[in-house]
Amino acid sequence: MILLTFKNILSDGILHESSSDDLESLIVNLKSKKEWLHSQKIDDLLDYFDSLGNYWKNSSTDDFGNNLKHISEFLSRVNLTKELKISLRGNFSALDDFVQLFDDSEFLYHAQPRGISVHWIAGNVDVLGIFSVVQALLTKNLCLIKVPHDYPLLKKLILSFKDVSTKKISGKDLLNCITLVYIDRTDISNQEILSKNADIRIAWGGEEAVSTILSLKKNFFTEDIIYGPKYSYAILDSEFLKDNLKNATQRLALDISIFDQYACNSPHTIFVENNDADNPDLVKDFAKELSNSMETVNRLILPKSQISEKKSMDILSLRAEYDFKGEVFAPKNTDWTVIYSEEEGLADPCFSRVVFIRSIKNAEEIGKFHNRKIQSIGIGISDHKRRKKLIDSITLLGGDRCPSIGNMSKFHSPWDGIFGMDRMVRWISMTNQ
Amino acid sequence: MNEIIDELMKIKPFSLGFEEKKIHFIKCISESIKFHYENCPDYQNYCKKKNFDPDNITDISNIPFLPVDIFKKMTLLSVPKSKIIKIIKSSGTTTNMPSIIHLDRITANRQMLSLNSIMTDFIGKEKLNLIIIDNEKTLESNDQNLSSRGTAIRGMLIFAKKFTCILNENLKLDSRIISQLENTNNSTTYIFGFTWLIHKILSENKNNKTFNNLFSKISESTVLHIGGWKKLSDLSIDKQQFNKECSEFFNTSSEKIIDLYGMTEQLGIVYPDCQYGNKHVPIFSEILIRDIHSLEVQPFGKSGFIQVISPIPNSYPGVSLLTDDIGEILGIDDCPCGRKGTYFIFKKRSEMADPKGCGDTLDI
Repeated sequence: MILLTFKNILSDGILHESSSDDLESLIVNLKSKKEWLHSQKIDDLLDYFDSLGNYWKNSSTDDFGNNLKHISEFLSRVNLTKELKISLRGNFSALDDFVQLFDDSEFLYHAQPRGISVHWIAGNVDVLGIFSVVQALLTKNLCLIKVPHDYPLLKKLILSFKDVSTKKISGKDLLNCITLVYIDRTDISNQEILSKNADIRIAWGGEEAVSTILSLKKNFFTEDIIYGPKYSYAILDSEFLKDNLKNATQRLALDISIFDQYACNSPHTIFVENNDADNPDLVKDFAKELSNSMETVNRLILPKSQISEKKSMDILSLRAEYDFKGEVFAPKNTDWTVIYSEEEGLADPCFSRVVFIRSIKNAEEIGKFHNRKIQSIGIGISDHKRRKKLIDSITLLGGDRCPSIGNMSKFHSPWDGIFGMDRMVRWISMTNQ
Repeated sequence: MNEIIDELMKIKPFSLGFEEKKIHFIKCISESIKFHYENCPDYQNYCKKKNFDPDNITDISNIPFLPVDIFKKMTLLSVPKSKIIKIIKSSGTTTNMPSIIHLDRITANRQMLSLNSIMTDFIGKEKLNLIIIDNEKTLESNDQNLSSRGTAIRGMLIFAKKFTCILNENLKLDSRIISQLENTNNSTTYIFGFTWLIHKILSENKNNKTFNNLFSKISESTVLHIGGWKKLSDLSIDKQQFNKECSEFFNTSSEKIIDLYGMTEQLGIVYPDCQYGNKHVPIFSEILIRDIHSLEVQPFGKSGFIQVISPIPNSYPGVSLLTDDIGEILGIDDCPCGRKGTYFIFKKRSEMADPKGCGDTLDI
């Protein structure tokens, strides 16, 4: 059996069953689209993505998966306008022309694309790749996507670009600005070509994958944007739960279930502050209520994806372990698992909708578990002042996002501490005469 | 309790039809589970959490299972520590963490009786010339501790008239021992070893003339191998390929290459291939196949996790274990080889974990 270590999947808007083109010539071809993309107006691109989002929102989840609403919201004109404004210093017209920024009259500024953005997409969260691809196209960068071995959803989403056109932009033309390739992890020579030709390297992935990407040779001026490997958790206080228990568990169940917990923003541990000796069962009751919500979300909103035999056994093994040393709330099958124990700290992630519920006496103590590997902290702290103070003190040690619970999986900038689109452009200045 | 299980141990392992066996088996497993329930508080709690009543077992599928790797994570004992005579450690192939199994005399005796009974049915009562593909130091124990490889080899020695370990301490063929073997009469020879180790030796000695000469003189030896396919699956070597290589190397027919399926967590029970390639469940145990997602018991012909149930363990509550091996029950009582009871095939070890996403941190 001959194993293909390199495969051209999509170029020039055409899906290839097999193609003899080598990677270098695919890159030359992709570069030829640079002028076309640069000539598109940001307003027209925003129109296009807004239409694309609507198209996906109105499509069947059988075709495009369960996260469509989520992605469509990201693509809305309102959201992307906000994202661009924040990332590009308040004036995203800088993508089209030289403009004034803030009240500086001495210089005019223009955000030029860096060139080719290469996206390394992680296996289990292939759909997250859409976020970086859209940001790259909005900033007028060409996209070369190294897809994982299995990426059915990402392929469908990208291919559907051609099904949408607006007055000014044809989806087919925009699709020409994207090339998809598969390169086996053992094919170092093609990985090197990919890396050397990248003006921006964007990596979504686990620790091992990202380390491999970072070890590849790159151009001196290449910008690296690393998404992952990160760990996320949530923290709630009893005051917050007092009137909100059901709502809080429903929102957390969504945060846990989106992406089946494989994304860096998925919570694995939920801390519940309980310093009330009168209510010793608060945390366990919360776990029980969360289990009801996990079941509802699985049944009605986000059915669990198929898992491997190994993952199924990992879940069963963990359940048995905590049947001995804690309390396990789970259905007979492996769809979801809520584990309560009296242990301290962040639990090792199992993924696949396995969440650990732990008690903490004082929310402020959470800082001792913080490091730069922490990404999202879902916040359910009732008092605004206390919330801000807590977030300030813990993020000094690590942690990049502190959304309210239920919003942990909503992609927005900054992500992993980075305003992505800012890093995708080169700022040019000229004297304003 | 011991009496009922002792009686079970006297029955020929494949002599009873499924329905007749069920009557004996349910009695024994009920007694065994009651014993563990009363003597292992952790197990009792576990059963209670599963709403399981040990006084009313009518169907073995209702017996709660423990995932086989629970013995890698915790020590569960149903007898006082003072009764433990041996501690067995598994190879820890998958996670680099071994299962640790504590044996008392009762368990060890049952394991020996069971193994003897099963193997005699397959290889007969005549004592064997046994060539062991291993080094003799593997058989040594350190205080009470013994590796599962050492335990398996020791278990086989009861069938040997004479045995020779043919590997040196570096697990390479020892040419000095091979030359000595050449001068002996090796008429009925059995070769025994761990699957991965046999494969290693085969790969290293394809053109080893000394070894070829030795086996050219021995006609129709039988190769018994144990220890699982994990390491070989990683090398993409399947059973058919292994059998072919093995039969060529040892100068024997592929029907004489017998894979023994078994595990450290339920030692003493092995499931050898019959001449039709099927694995047979002896009277001392029963198996179920569970769907990997729903965990429901699967009908014949559907594959899933293999659950092994046996009353043999006395010192630890390893009576109902869910393995991470994938198998399929082919039928009951009607294998052409004539053995009664359930028969099945082992398909594979569960595959590696899902691909890693941006949420995958090596440590936090």
